[in-house]
Amino acid sequence: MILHTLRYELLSLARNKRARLFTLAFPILLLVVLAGMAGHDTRTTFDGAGVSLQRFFLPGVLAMSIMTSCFAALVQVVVTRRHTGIYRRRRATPVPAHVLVVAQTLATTIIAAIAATILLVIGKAAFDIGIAPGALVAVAIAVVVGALSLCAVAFLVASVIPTPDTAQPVVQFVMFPVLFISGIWFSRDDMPHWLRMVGDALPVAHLSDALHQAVQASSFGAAFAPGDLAVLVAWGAGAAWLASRRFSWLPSTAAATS
Amino acid sequence: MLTPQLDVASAAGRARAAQVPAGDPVIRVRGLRKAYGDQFAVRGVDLDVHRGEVLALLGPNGAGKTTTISILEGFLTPDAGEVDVLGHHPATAPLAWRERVGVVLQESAPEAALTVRECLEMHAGWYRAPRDVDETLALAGLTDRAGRYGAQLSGGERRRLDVALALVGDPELVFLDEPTTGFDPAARRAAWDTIAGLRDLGVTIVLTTHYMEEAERLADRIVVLTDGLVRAEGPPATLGARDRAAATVRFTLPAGAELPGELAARAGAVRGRVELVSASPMTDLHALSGWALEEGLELSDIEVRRPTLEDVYLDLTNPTAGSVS
Repeated sequence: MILHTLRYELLSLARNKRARLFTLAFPILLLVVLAGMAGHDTRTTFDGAGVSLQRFFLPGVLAMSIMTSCFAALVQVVVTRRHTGIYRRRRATPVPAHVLVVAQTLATTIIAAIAATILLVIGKAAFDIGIAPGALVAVAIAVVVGALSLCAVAFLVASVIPTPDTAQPVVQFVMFPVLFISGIWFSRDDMPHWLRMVGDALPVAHLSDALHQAVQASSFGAAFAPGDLAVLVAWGAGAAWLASRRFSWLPSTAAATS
Repeated sequence: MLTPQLDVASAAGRARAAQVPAGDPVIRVRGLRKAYGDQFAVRGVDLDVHRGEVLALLGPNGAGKTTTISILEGFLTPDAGEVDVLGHHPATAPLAWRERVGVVLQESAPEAALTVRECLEMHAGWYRAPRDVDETLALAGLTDRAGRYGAQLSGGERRRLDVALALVGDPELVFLDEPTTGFDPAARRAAWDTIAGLRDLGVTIVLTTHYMEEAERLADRIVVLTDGLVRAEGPPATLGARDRAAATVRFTLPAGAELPGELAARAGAVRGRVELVSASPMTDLHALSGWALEEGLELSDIEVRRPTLEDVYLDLTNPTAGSVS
Protein backbone atom coordinates (compact mmCIF):
# COMPACT_ATOMS: atom_id res chain seq x y z
CA MET A 1 0.00 0.00 0.00
CA ILE A 2 2.99 2.30 0.61
CA LEU A 3 4.30 1.61 -2.91
CA HIS A 4 0.83 2.15 -4.36
CA THR A 5 0.54 5.53 -2.63
CA LEU A 6 4.17 6.43 -3.39
CA ARG A 7 3.48 6.12 -7.11
CA TYR A 8 0.77 8.79 -7.00
CA GLU A 9 2.78 11.02 -4.66
CA LEU A 10 5.68 10.92 -7.13
CA LEU A 11 3.33 11.78 -10.00
CA SER A 12 1.94 14.70 -7.98
CA LEU A 13 5.39 16.04 -7.15
CA ALA A 14 6.87 15.55 -10.60
CA ARG A 15 3.98 17.45 -12.19
CA ASN A 16 4.08 20.31 -9.71
CA LYS A 17 5.53 23.30 -11.56
CA ARG A 18 6.19 25.22 -8.38
CA ALA A 19 8.10 22.30 -6.91
CA ARG A 20 10.17 21.93 -10.08
CA LEU A 21 11.01 25.61 -10.00
CA PHE A 22 12.06 25.77 -6.37
CA THR A 23 13.66 22.41 -5.84
CA LEU A 24 15.35 22.06 -9.22
CA ALA A 25 15.55 25.18 -11.35
CA PHE A 26 16.51 27.52 -8.52
CA PRO A 27 19.36 25.40 -7.10
CA ILE A 28 20.73 24.83 -10.62
CA LEU A 29 20.66 28.55 -11.28
CA LEU A 30 22.33 29.21 -7.96
CA LEU A 31 25.06 26.64 -8.62
CA VAL A 32 25.78 28.06 -12.06
CA VAL A 33 25.88 31.65 -10.82
CA LEU A 34 27.90 30.97 -7.64
CA ALA A 35 30.37 28.54 -9.19
CA GLY A 36 30.63 30.67 -12.29
CA MET A 37 31.37 33.80 -10.26
CA ALA A 38 33.83 32.07 -8.00
CA GLY A 39 36.12 30.89 -10.78
CA HIS A 40 38.84 28.33 -10.15
CA ASP A 41 41.26 30.29 -8.10
CA THR A 42 39.25 31.87 -5.35
CA ARG A 43 39.68 29.86 -2.18
CA THR A 44 38.03 29.46 1.20
CA THR A 45 38.37 26.87 3.96
CA PHE A 46 36.33 23.98 5.26
CA ASP A 47 37.24 22.66 8.67
CA GLY A 48 40.56 24.46 8.43
CA ALA A 49 41.59 22.98 5.09
CA GLY A 50 41.78 25.11 1.98
CA VAL A 51 39.30 24.49 -0.80
CA SER A 52 38.41 26.24 -4.04
CA LEU A 53 35.28 28.30 -3.73
CA GLN A 54 33.75 26.38 -6.64
CA ARG A 55 34.14 23.09 -4.85
CA PHE A 56 32.85 24.73 -1.68
CA PHE A 57 29.63 25.87 -3.30
CA LEU A 58 28.58 22.50 -4.72
CA PRO A 59 27.76 20.81 -1.37
CA GLY A 60 26.33 24.10 -0.16
CA VAL A 61 23.86 24.22 -3.01
CA LEU A 62 23.12 20.50 -2.50
CA ALA A 63 22.22 21.15 1.13
CA MET A 64 20.11 24.13 0.17
CA SER A 65 18.27 22.12 -2.47
CA ILE A 66 17.47 19.42 0.07
CA MET A 67 16.29 21.99 2.56
CA THR A 68 14.07 23.59 -0.06
CA SER A 69 12.36 20.39 -1.20
CA CYS A 70 12.28 18.44 2.06
CA PHE A 71 11.60 21.29 4.41
CA ALA A 72 10.19 24.43 2.78
CA ALA A 73 8.16 22.79 0.01
CA LEU A 74 7.03 19.88 2.16
CA VAL A 75 5.77 22.14 4.96
CA GLN A 76 3.81 24.12 2.40
CA VAL A 77 2.30 21.00 0.81
CA VAL A 78 1.37 19.42 4.14
CA VAL A 79 -0.24 22.56 5.52
CA THR A 80 -2.11 23.17 2.27
CA ARG A 81 -3.38 19.60 2.05
CA ARG A 82 -4.59 19.76 5.61
CA HIS A 83 -6.21 23.16 5.11
CA THR A 84 -8.03 22.25 1.89
CA GLY A 85 -9.44 18.97 3.24
CA ILE A 86 -7.32 16.65 1.10
CA TYR A 87 -5.93 14.91 4.19
CA ARG A 88 -9.33 14.69 5.81
CA ARG A 89 -10.75 13.07 2.69
CA ARG A 90 -7.87 10.61 2.60
CA ARG A 91 -8.36 9.80 6.28
CA ALA A 92 -12.02 9.03 5.54
CA THR A 93 -10.70 5.94 3.72
CA PRO A 94 -9.18 2.86 5.39
CA VAL A 95 -5.63 4.01 4.56
CA PRO A 96 -3.46 3.91 7.70
CA ALA A 97 -1.86 7.22 8.70
CA HIS A 98 1.68 5.85 8.51
CA VAL A 99 1.16 4.88 4.85
CA LEU A 100 0.37 8.48 3.98
CA VAL A 101 3.33 9.87 5.93
CA VAL A 102 5.84 7.32 4.67
CA ALA A 103 4.73 7.58 1.04
CA GLN A 104 4.90 11.36 1.08
CA THR A 105 8.27 11.34 2.82
CA LEU A 106 9.73 8.80 0.38
CA ALA A 107 8.40 10.68 -2.65
CA THR A 108 9.93 13.92 -1.36
CA THR A 109 13.23 12.19 -0.63
CA ILE A 110 13.34 10.57 -4.07
CA ILE A 111 12.71 13.90 -5.78
CA ALA A 112 15.41 15.51 -3.60
CA ALA A 113 17.84 12.74 -4.55
CA ILE A 114 17.09 13.23 -8.24
CA ALA A 115 17.70 16.98 -7.87
CA ALA A 116 20.99 16.25 -6.07
CA THR A 117 22.06 13.91 -8.88
CA ILE A 118 21.34 16.57 -11.48
CA LEU A 119 23.35 19.13 -9.47
CA LEU A 120 26.29 16.73 -9.20
CA VAL A 121 26.21 16.07 -12.94
CA ILE A 122 26.12 19.79 -13.71
CA GLY A 123 28.95 20.36 -11.23
CA LYS A 124 31.07 17.82 -13.05
CA ALA A 125 30.06 18.76 -16.59
CA ALA A 126 30.12 22.54 -16.30
CA PHE A 127 32.76 23.16 -13.63
CA ASP A 128 34.74 19.92 -13.58
CA ILE A 129 34.02 19.35 -9.89
CA GLY A 130 34.83 15.66 -9.82
CA ILE A 131 34.08 13.42 -6.84
CA ALA A 132 35.89 10.20 -6.05
CA PRO A 133 33.66 7.09 -6.44
CA GLY A 134 34.00 6.16 -2.76
CA ALA A 135 33.19 9.70 -1.74
CA LEU A 136 30.14 9.62 -4.00
CA VAL A 137 28.67 6.85 -1.85
CA ALA A 138 29.14 9.05 1.19
CA VAL A 139 27.45 11.94 -0.65
CA ALA A 140 24.50 9.69 -1.48
CA ILE A 141 24.17 8.56 2.13
CA ALA A 142 24.32 12.14 3.41
CA VAL A 143 21.70 13.25 0.87
CA VAL A 144 19.25 10.50 1.83
CA VAL A 145 19.77 10.77 5.59
CA GLY A 146 19.55 14.56 5.44
CA ALA A 147 16.41 14.44 3.28
CA LEU A 148 14.61 11.98 5.56
CA SER A 149 15.62 13.93 8.65
CA LEU A 150 14.40 17.25 7.25
CA CYS A 151 11.12 15.64 6.13
CA ALA A 152 10.49 14.65 9.73
CA VAL A 153 11.27 18.20 10.86
CA ALA A 154 8.88 19.48 8.17
CA PHE A 155 6.00 17.38 9.51
CA LEU A 156 6.75 18.66 13.00
CA VAL A 157 6.82 22.31 11.89
CA ALA A 158 3.66 21.76 9.82
CA SER A 159 1.90 20.50 12.92
CA VAL A 160 2.19 23.93 14.56
CA ILE A 161 1.34 26.05 11.49
CA PRO A 162 -2.42 26.63 11.20
CA THR A 163 -2.88 27.84 7.59
CA PRO A 164 -1.01 27.99 4.26
CA ASP A 165 -0.88 31.77 4.61
CA THR A 166 1.22 31.50 7.73
CA ALA A 167 3.37 28.68 6.35
CA GLN A 168 5.18 30.88 3.85
CA PRO A 169 6.51 33.51 6.29
CA VAL A 170 7.30 30.94 8.99
CA VAL A 171 9.26 28.81 6.54
CA GLN A 172 11.18 31.81 5.18
CA PHE A 173 11.86 33.05 8.69
CA VAL A 174 13.33 29.70 9.66
CA MET A 175 15.09 28.94 6.41
CA PHE A 176 17.12 32.03 5.64
CA PRO A 177 18.99 32.45 8.93
CA VAL A 178 19.56 28.70 9.09
CA LEU A 179 20.99 28.63 5.58
CA PHE A 180 23.31 31.54 6.41
CA ILE A 181 24.79 30.01 9.53
CA SER A 182 25.00 26.48 8.20
CA GLY A 183 28.07 26.86 5.99
CA ILE A 184 26.18 26.89 2.75
CA TRP A 185 27.27 30.23 1.33
CA PHE A 186 29.97 31.18 3.86
CA SER A 187 32.50 28.89 5.48
CA ARG A 188 31.65 28.13 9.08
CA ASP A 189 35.38 28.42 9.80
CA ASP A 190 35.14 32.20 9.69
CA MET A 191 32.12 32.48 11.95
CA PRO A 192 32.25 33.53 15.58
CA HIS A 193 32.22 30.72 18.09
CA TRP A 194 28.67 31.31 19.33
CA LEU A 195 27.27 31.24 15.81
CA ARG A 196 29.01 27.93 15.18
CA MET A 197 27.43 26.63 18.36
CA VAL A 198 23.98 27.66 17.13
CA GLY A 199 24.65 25.97 13.80
CA ASP A 200 25.88 22.82 15.55
CA ALA A 201 22.61 22.58 17.43
CA LEU A 202 20.59 22.54 14.19
CA PRO A 203 20.45 19.80 11.58
CA VAL A 204 21.22 21.75 8.41
CA ALA A 205 24.81 22.61 9.39
CA HIS A 206 25.48 18.92 9.90
CA LEU A 207 23.98 18.06 6.54
CA SER A 208 26.10 20.78 4.98
CA ASP A 209 29.24 19.64 6.85
CA ALA A 210 28.67 16.00 5.91
CA LEU A 211 28.30 16.98 2.26
CA HIS A 212 31.37 19.30 2.35
CA GLN A 213 33.46 16.55 3.87
CA ALA A 214 32.23 14.01 1.30
CA VAL A 215 32.72 16.24 -1.73
CA GLN A 216 36.28 17.08 -0.72
CA ALA A 217 37.46 13.64 0.29
CA SER A 218 39.09 11.13 -2.01
CA SER A 219 37.93 7.90 -0.33
CA PHE A 220 34.80 6.64 1.38
CA GLY A 221 36.59 6.47 4.73
CA ALA A 222 37.58 10.11 4.58
CA ALA A 223 34.26 11.18 3.08
CA PHE A 224 31.96 9.49 5.56
CA ALA A 225 30.92 11.73 8.46
CA PRO A 226 29.30 9.52 11.12
CA GLY A 227 29.15 12.28 13.72
CA ASP A 228 27.18 14.65 11.50
CA LEU A 229 24.94 11.84 10.28
CA ALA A 230 24.23 10.78 13.85
CA VAL A 231 23.03 14.30 14.65
CA LEU A 232 20.79 14.23 11.56
CA VAL A 233 19.35 10.86 12.58
CA ALA A 234 18.75 12.14 16.11
CA TRP A 235 16.96 15.24 14.78
CA GLY A 236 14.91 13.14 12.41
CA ALA A 237 13.93 10.61 15.05
CA GLY A 238 13.14 13.30 17.62
CA ALA A 239 11.07 15.31 15.16
CA ALA A 240 9.23 12.20 13.97
CA TRP A 241 8.39 11.23 17.52
CA LEU A 242 7.14 14.69 18.43
CA ALA A 243 5.25 15.05 15.15
CA SER A 244 3.54 11.70 15.70
CA ARG A 245 2.13 13.14 18.93
CA ARG A 246 1.34 16.64 17.74
CA PHE A 247 0.41 16.27 14.09
CA SER A 248 -3.24 16.61 13.11
CA TRP A 249 -4.75 15.68 9.75
CA LEU A 250 -7.61 18.09 10.26
CA PRO A 251 -7.48 21.87 10.09
CA SER A 252 -7.59 23.57 13.47
CA THR A 253 -10.52 25.64 12.24
CA ALA A 254 -12.58 22.52 11.56
CA ALA A 255 -14.01 22.87 15.03
CA ALA A 256 -15.33 26.34 14.32
CA THR A 257 -17.60 25.36 11.43
CA SER A 258 -20.83 23.72 12.37
CA MET B 1 -26.59 8.95 -16.63
CA LEU B 2 -30.26 8.53 -15.92
CA THR B 3 -30.74 4.81 -16.26
CA PRO B 4 -27.36 3.22 -17.00
CA GLN B 5 -26.22 3.65 -13.44
CA LEU B 6 -28.31 0.71 -12.36
CA ASP B 7 -26.48 -1.45 -14.85
CA VAL B 8 -23.12 -0.44 -13.50
CA ALA B 9 -24.19 -0.98 -9.92
CA SER B 10 -21.89 -3.32 -8.10
CA ALA B 11 -22.88 -6.89 -7.51
CA ALA B 12 -21.90 -6.49 -3.87
CA GLY B 13 -24.32 -3.62 -3.47
CA ARG B 14 -27.18 -5.56 -5.00
CA ALA B 15 -26.46 -8.59 -2.88
CA ARG B 16 -26.41 -6.46 0.22
CA ALA B 17 -29.66 -4.76 -0.64
CA ALA B 18 -31.29 -8.12 -1.01
CA GLN B 19 -29.90 -9.65 2.16
CA VAL B 20 -30.37 -7.00 4.75
CA PRO B 21 -33.77 -6.54 6.32
CA ALA B 22 -35.12 -3.02 6.09
CA GLY B 23 -35.35 -1.08 9.32
CA ASP B 24 -32.11 -2.47 10.72
CA PRO B 25 -30.56 0.55 12.51
CA VAL B 26 -27.32 1.74 10.93
CA ILE B 27 -26.90 4.87 13.06
CA ARG B 28 -28.14 5.35 16.59
CA VAL B 29 -27.46 8.58 18.46
CA ARG B 30 -28.72 9.51 21.92
CA GLY B 31 -28.16 12.74 23.82
CA LEU B 32 -25.34 13.93 21.59
CA ARG B 33 -23.61 17.04 22.87
CA LYS B 34 -20.67 19.02 21.60
CA ALA B 35 -19.43 22.47 22.60
CA TYR B 36 -16.62 24.64 21.29
CA GLY B 37 -15.42 26.52 24.30
CA ASP B 38 -18.60 27.71 26.00
CA GLN B 39 -20.52 27.72 22.72
CA PHE B 40 -22.79 24.73 22.30
CA ALA B 41 -23.00 23.41 18.73
CA VAL B 42 -25.04 20.31 19.51
CA ARG B 43 -27.13 20.24 22.68
CA GLY B 44 -28.67 16.80 22.96
CA VAL B 45 -29.48 15.29 19.59
CA ASP B 46 -31.21 11.92 19.20
CA LEU B 47 -31.07 10.33 15.78
CA ASP B 48 -31.84 6.97 14.21
CA VAL B 49 -31.02 6.06 10.65
CA HIS B 50 -32.27 2.77 9.28
CA ARG B 51 -30.67 0.62 6.66
CA GLY B 52 -31.45 1.65 3.10
CA GLU B 53 -32.92 4.95 4.23
CA VAL B 54 -32.07 8.41 2.91
CA LEU B 55 -32.05 10.87 5.78
CA ALA B 56 -31.74 14.60 5.14
CA LEU B 57 -30.43 16.88 7.88
CA LEU B 58 -31.79 20.38 7.41
CA GLY B 59 -31.17 23.50 9.39
CA PRO B 60 -29.78 27.00 9.11
CA ASN B 61 -26.03 27.62 9.17
CA GLY B 62 -24.77 27.07 12.70
CA ALA B 63 -27.60 24.69 13.62
CA GLY B 64 -25.16 21.84 14.24
CA LYS B 65 -25.51 19.85 11.01
CA THR B 66 -21.84 19.67 10.14
CA THR B 67 -20.84 19.13 13.77
CA THR B 68 -23.25 16.20 13.95
CA ILE B 69 -22.10 14.73 10.68
CA SER B 70 -18.42 15.21 11.59
CA ILE B 71 -19.02 13.24 14.77
CA LEU B 72 -20.77 10.49 12.80
CA GLU B 73 -17.82 10.42 10.38
CA GLY B 74 -15.39 10.05 13.27
CA PHE B 75 -13.60 13.36 12.73
CA LEU B 76 -14.88 14.98 15.88
CA THR B 77 -15.21 13.58 19.39
CA PRO B 78 -18.48 14.43 21.15
CA ASP B 79 -18.55 15.75 24.70
CA ALA B 80 -21.39 13.48 25.73
CA GLY B 81 -23.95 11.08 24.37
CA GLU B 82 -24.13 7.64 22.80
CA VAL B 83 -23.08 7.26 19.18
CA ASP B 84 -23.23 4.03 17.24
CA VAL B 85 -22.49 3.90 13.53
CA LEU B 86 -22.41 0.42 11.99
CA GLY B 87 -21.70 -1.08 15.39
CA HIS B 88 -18.86 1.23 16.39
CA HIS B 89 -18.28 4.56 18.03
CA PRO B 90 -16.89 6.48 15.05
CA ALA B 91 -14.14 8.20 17.07
CA THR B 92 -12.65 4.85 18.12
CA ALA B 93 -13.69 2.65 15.20
CA PRO B 94 -11.00 0.47 13.61
CA LEU B 95 -9.75 1.29 10.10
CA ALA B 96 -11.81 -1.61 8.73
CA TRP B 97 -14.91 0.44 9.64
CA ARG B 98 -13.85 2.96 7.00
CA GLU B 99 -14.21 0.22 4.36
CA ARG B 100 -17.96 0.48 4.89
CA VAL B 101 -18.40 4.24 5.07
CA GLY B 102 -18.16 6.79 2.25
CA VAL B 103 -17.73 10.48 2.99
CA VAL B 104 -18.35 13.59 0.91
CA LEU B 105 -17.00 16.50 2.94
CA GLN B 106 -18.46 19.95 2.76
CA GLU B 107 -15.22 21.24 1.30
CA SER B 108 -12.24 19.39 -0.06
CA ALA B 109 -9.91 20.41 -2.86
CA PRO B 110 -9.04 17.98 -5.64
CA GLU B 111 -5.56 16.47 -5.87
CA ALA B 112 -4.43 19.14 -8.31
CA ALA B 113 -1.71 17.23 -10.19
CA LEU B 114 -3.55 13.91 -10.50
CA THR B 115 -6.13 13.15 -13.15
CA VAL B 116 -9.63 12.16 -12.09
CA ARG B 117 -8.83 8.54 -12.93
CA GLU B 118 -5.50 8.56 -11.09
CA CYS B 119 -7.10 10.07 -8.01
CA LEU B 120 -9.79 7.38 -8.04
CA GLU B 121 -7.19 4.66 -8.59
CA MET B 122 -5.14 5.92 -5.65
CA HIS B 123 -8.18 5.89 -3.35
CA ALA B 124 -9.37 2.53 -4.71
CA GLY B 125 -6.00 1.04 -3.77
CA TRP B 126 -6.68 1.81 -0.12
CA TYR B 127 -9.76 -0.45 0.03
CA ARG B 128 -9.80 -4.23 0.25
CA ALA B 129 -12.74 -4.60 -2.16
CA PRO B 130 -13.16 -1.35 -4.08
CA ARG B 131 -15.77 -0.66 -6.70
CA ASP B 132 -14.38 -0.79 -10.23
CA VAL B 133 -12.90 2.59 -11.18
CA ASP B 134 -14.69 2.79 -14.56
CA GLU B 135 -17.94 1.84 -12.87
CA THR B 136 -17.41 4.57 -10.27
CA LEU B 137 -16.63 7.13 -12.98
CA ALA B 138 -19.89 6.23 -14.72
CA LEU B 139 -21.83 6.35 -11.46
CA ALA B 140 -20.63 9.89 -10.77
CA GLY B 141 -20.98 11.02 -14.38
CA LEU B 142 -17.25 11.58 -14.81
CA THR B 143 -16.46 9.11 -17.59
CA ASP B 144 -15.65 11.86 -20.08
CA ARG B 145 -13.61 13.77 -17.52
CA ALA B 146 -11.38 10.86 -16.47
CA GLY B 147 -8.27 12.34 -18.07
CA ARG B 148 -8.59 15.80 -16.59
CA TYR B 149 -6.25 17.05 -13.90
CA GLY B 150 -7.79 18.02 -10.58
CA ALA B 151 -6.67 21.60 -11.09
CA GLN B 152 -8.65 21.84 -14.34
CA LEU B 153 -12.00 20.73 -12.95
CA SER B 154 -14.98 23.06 -12.67
CA GLY B 155 -16.77 23.42 -9.35
CA GLY B 156 -19.42 20.89 -10.31
CA GLU B 157 -16.83 18.41 -11.58
CA ARG B 158 -14.86 18.70 -8.35
CA ARG B 159 -17.98 17.88 -6.41
CA ARG B 160 -18.68 14.89 -8.63
CA LEU B 161 -15.12 13.75 -8.02
CA ASP B 162 -15.79 14.02 -4.28
CA VAL B 163 -18.86 11.86 -4.75
CA ALA B 164 -16.90 9.36 -6.86
CA LEU B 165 -14.19 9.16 -4.17
CA ALA B 166 -16.83 8.47 -1.55
CA LEU B 167 -18.26 5.64 -3.66
CA VAL B 168 -15.06 3.98 -4.87
CA GLY B 169 -14.86 1.93 -1.66
CA ASP B 170 -18.31 0.46 -2.36
CA PRO B 171 -19.66 1.69 0.99
CA GLU B 172 -22.91 0.65 2.65
CA LEU B 173 -23.30 4.03 4.36
CA VAL B 174 -22.58 7.39 2.73
CA PHE B 175 -22.41 10.85 4.30
CA LEU B 176 -23.03 13.71 1.90
CA ASP B 177 -22.41 17.15 3.38
CA GLU B 178 -24.05 19.64 0.98
CA PRO B 179 -23.30 17.51 -2.07
CA THR B 180 -24.77 19.85 -4.70
CA THR B 181 -23.88 23.30 -3.40
CA GLY B 182 -22.79 25.41 -6.37
CA PHE B 183 -24.30 23.09 -9.01
CA ASP B 184 -26.26 24.40 -11.95
CA PRO B 185 -29.79 22.96 -12.24
CA ALA B 186 -28.81 20.28 -14.78
CA ALA B 187 -25.86 19.11 -12.70
CA ARG B 188 -28.08 19.01 -9.63
CA ARG B 189 -30.61 16.79 -11.42
CA ALA B 190 -27.79 14.49 -12.47
CA ALA B 191 -26.50 14.32 -8.89
CA TRP B 192 -29.98 13.49 -7.64
CA ASP B 193 -30.14 10.62 -10.11
CA THR B 194 -26.80 9.36 -8.81
CA ILE B 195 -27.98 9.54 -5.21
CA ALA B 196 -31.32 7.95 -6.04
CA GLY B 197 -29.39 5.20 -7.81
CA LEU B 198 -27.38 4.59 -4.64
CA ARG B 199 -30.54 4.22 -2.63
CA ASP B 200 -31.79 1.67 -5.13
CA LEU B 201 -28.59 -0.27 -4.42
CA GLY B 202 -29.47 -0.38 -0.74
CA VAL B 203 -26.90 2.20 0.35
CA THR B 204 -27.89 4.13 3.46
CA ILE B 205 -27.45 7.87 2.95
CA VAL B 206 -27.21 10.79 5.35
CA LEU B 207 -27.17 14.12 3.58
CA THR B 208 -27.25 17.75 4.59
CA THR B 209 -28.56 20.36 2.22
CA HIS B 210 -29.90 23.88 1.98
CA TYR B 211 -32.11 22.98 -0.99
CA MET B 212 -35.64 22.01 -0.01
CA GLU B 213 -36.31 20.50 -3.40
CA GLU B 214 -33.30 18.25 -2.91
CA ALA B 215 -34.54 17.05 0.46
CA GLU B 216 -38.04 16.54 -0.88
CA ARG B 217 -36.82 14.56 -3.89
CA LEU B 218 -34.30 12.36 -2.15
CA ALA B 219 -35.11 11.99 1.51
CA ASP B 220 -37.27 9.30 3.05
CA ARG B 221 -37.07 11.27 6.25
CA ILE B 222 -36.06 14.79 7.21
CA VAL B 223 -34.60 15.93 10.50
CA VAL B 224 -34.62 19.68 11.09
CA LEU B 225 -31.94 20.98 13.46
CA THR B 226 -31.99 24.41 15.03
CA ASP B 227 -29.64 25.64 17.74
CA GLY B 228 -28.16 22.18 18.17
CA LEU B 229 -31.49 20.46 18.83
CA VAL B 230 -33.83 18.34 16.73
CA ARG B 231 -36.68 20.71 15.97
CA ALA B 232 -38.85 18.44 13.84
CA GLU B 233 -38.62 15.10 12.17
CA GLY B 234 -40.65 13.20 9.61
CA PRO B 235 -41.17 12.29 5.97
CA PRO B 236 -41.10 15.29 3.61
CA ALA B 237 -44.87 15.06 2.99
CA THR B 238 -45.87 15.33 6.64
CA LEU B 239 -43.00 17.29 8.21
CA GLY B 240 -44.22 19.87 10.69
CA ALA B 241 -47.84 18.67 10.17
CA ARG B 242 -47.54 20.04 6.65
CA ASP B 243 -50.23 17.68 5.38
CA ARG B 244 -52.69 19.01 7.90
CA ALA B 245 -51.81 22.68 7.50
CA ALA B 246 -54.28 25.06 5.86
CA ALA B 247 -54.16 25.48 2.10
CA THR B 248 -54.34 28.79 0.30
CA VAL B 249 -56.76 29.34 -2.59
CA ARG B 250 -55.86 32.22 -4.91
CA PHE B 251 -57.64 33.68 -7.89
CA THR B 252 -58.39 36.96 -9.65
CA LEU B 253 -61.91 38.24 -9.30
CA PRO B 254 -63.24 39.53 -12.65
CA ALA B 255 -64.08 43.25 -12.64
CA GLY B 256 -67.42 44.03 -11.12
CA ALA B 257 -67.94 40.61 -9.54
CA GLU B 258 -68.47 40.27 -5.83
CA LEU B 259 -67.90 37.19 -3.70
CA PRO B 260 -70.83 35.80 -1.74
CA GLY B 261 -70.91 36.83 1.90
CA GLU B 262 -69.47 33.76 3.63
CA LEU B 263 -66.41 33.56 1.34
CA ALA B 264 -66.00 37.34 1.16
CA ALA B 265 -65.74 37.52 4.95
CA ARG B 266 -62.68 35.23 4.95
CA ALA B 267 -60.99 36.47 1.78
CA GLY B 268 -58.15 38.94 1.65
CA ALA B 269 -56.58 40.78 -1.25
CA VAL B 270 -52.95 40.25 -2.09
CA ARG B 271 -51.45 42.10 -5.07
CA GLY B 272 -54.77 42.33 -6.90
CA ARG B 273 -55.70 38.70 -6.29
CA VAL B 274 -58.09 37.20 -3.81
CA GLU B 275 -56.48 34.97 -1.23
CA LEU B 276 -58.45 32.56 0.89
CA VAL B 277 -56.84 30.54 3.68
CA SER B 278 -58.76 27.33 3.89
CA ALA B 279 -58.68 24.45 6.34
CA SER B 280 -60.98 22.44 4.04
CA PRO B 281 -60.19 23.51 0.51
CA MET B 282 -62.58 20.98 -1.10
CA THR B 283 -65.56 22.56 0.59
CA ASP B 284 -64.45 26.07 -0.21
CA LEU B 285 -63.66 25.22 -3.83
CA HIS B 286 -67.05 23.62 -4.22
CA ALA B 287 -68.76 26.72 -2.92
CA LEU B 288 -66.56 28.96 -5.03
CA SER B 289 -67.00 27.06 -8.30
CA GLY B 290 -70.75 26.72 -7.71
CA TRP B 291 -71.01 30.47 -7.29
CA ALA B 292 -68.79 31.19 -10.32
CA LEU B 293 -70.80 28.88 -12.59
CA GLU B 294 -74.04 30.46 -11.47
CA GLU B 295 -72.67 33.93 -12.19
CA GLY B 296 -71.14 32.80 -15.48
CA LEU B 297 -67.65 33.78 -14.34
CA GLU B 298 -64.40 32.12 -15.32
CA LEU B 299 -61.76 32.21 -12.53
CA SER B 300 -59.00 31.37 -15.01
CA ASP B 301 -55.96 31.72 -12.72
CA ILE B 302 -57.33 29.81 -9.76
CA GLU B 303 -54.74 27.83 -7.77
CA VAL B 304 -54.72 25.84 -4.58
CA ARG B 305 -51.44 25.78 -2.76
CA ARG B 306 -50.40 23.58 0.13
CA PRO B 307 -47.53 24.93 2.22
CA THR B 308 -44.31 23.84 0.50
CA LEU B 309 -41.55 22.11 2.37
CA GLU B 310 -39.75 25.43 2.29
CA ASP B 311 -42.71 27.19 3.97
CA VAL B 312 -42.72 24.56 6.69
CA TYR B 313 -38.96 24.68 7.04
CA LEU B 314 -38.86 28.46 7.33
CA ASP B 315 -41.60 28.27 9.90
CA LEU B 316 -39.75 25.65 11.90
CA THR B 317 -36.44 27.46 11.82
CA ASN B 318 -37.82 30.92 12.47
CA PRO B 319 -36.40 31.80 15.89
CA THR B 320 -39.44 33.91 16.78
CA ALA B 321 -41.95 31.13 16.05
CA GLY B 322 -43.38 28.97 18.79
CA SER B 323 -42.46 25.33 19.23
CA VAL B 324 -43.95 22.76 16.91
CA SER B 325 -45.67 19.63 18.02
